[in-house]
Amino acid sequence: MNTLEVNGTAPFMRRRSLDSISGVTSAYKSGMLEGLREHAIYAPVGPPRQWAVWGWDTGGPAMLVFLGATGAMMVAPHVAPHVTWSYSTLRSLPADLEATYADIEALKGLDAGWNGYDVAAPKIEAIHEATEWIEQFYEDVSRSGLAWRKPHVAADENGEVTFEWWNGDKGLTIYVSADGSISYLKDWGPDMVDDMEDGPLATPQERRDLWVWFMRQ
Amino acid sequence: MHDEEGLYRNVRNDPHNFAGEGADWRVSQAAFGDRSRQPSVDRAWLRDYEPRNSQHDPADCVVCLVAQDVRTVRDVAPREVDVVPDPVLDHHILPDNPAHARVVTDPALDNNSQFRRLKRALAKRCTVMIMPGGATPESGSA
Repeated sequence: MNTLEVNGTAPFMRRRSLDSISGVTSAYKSGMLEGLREHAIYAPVGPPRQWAVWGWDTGGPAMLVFLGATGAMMVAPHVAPHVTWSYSTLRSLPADLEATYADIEALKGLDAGWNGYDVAAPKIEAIHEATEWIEQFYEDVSRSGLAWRKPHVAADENGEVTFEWWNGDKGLTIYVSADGSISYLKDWGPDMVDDMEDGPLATPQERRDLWVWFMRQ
Repeated sequence: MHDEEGLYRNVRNDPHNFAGEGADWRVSQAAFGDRSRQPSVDRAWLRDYEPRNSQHDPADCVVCLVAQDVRTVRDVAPREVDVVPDPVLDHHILPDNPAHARVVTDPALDNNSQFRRLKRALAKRCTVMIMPGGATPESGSA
């Protein structure tokens, strides 16, 4: 039996194939549990307030599960009787991250050697960590009243997820590893010694300071 | 290898290798990723100075570096960055490529941090010869 505990966030990501469901807009949350290949969360667009979780059991049929706003669980009986769903808090993320989540999700489709050379496929754990981290970073930036810029999402040769930004001659790259460790590389020129700096990135203050540096003209 | 030598690198036409649009279009550091930490290039003169001869696919992008620019990339440690010929001949998988060369360091890069800097430096120094999709930059059709 697979168990899904919905206890994460619900970042917006429209899923074209699901837009036909009346009364809800689709959103997506990746990597919440083992045993499901994929699942999505629908955020409500108006009353009656209702949440839904959609997923596929490994090798099984698609399933659709509706969750009430109070946390009450309503399972469509014909879909997945062998799966138990439980529910805690869901919340939505701003649409600013919608495209970025789509970019992160697309990393799952890359195989080893995806850039034409000897590189690992993006690691699923790193993809999940990146999904969480970019939300955290976005909140740090938003709380500071700073403007947000959409990152370029890619992966490195070790399967870590990378976020890249450019601002004139400045560059900022964030590396998200499978174990959740975060590091940065900032650059303001091509010289590896004089024009670059790197290191770990852990605290909200460090994240804000990095973004302030990056956005400064 | 002379300092003036041009070096082509094929960059697969994959959106993860590029970012931005128009004047903000850039090659990502991801385009230089390689677990060997020795990115491959082709020596331009052995490709008849025709970047299309370095394409793995007609829709791929090709960027150009100059050996001297690569060699002036330097690291924190007493380490030299160089480009060395590495012709591929009679490989059990790869097709023959007499033009093949590698960006190497002496001593070898021993951590991710150093290679990240190298990739970033190469991405900043490269010039686009063929845009993704196969158009030349001058044509404005990329």
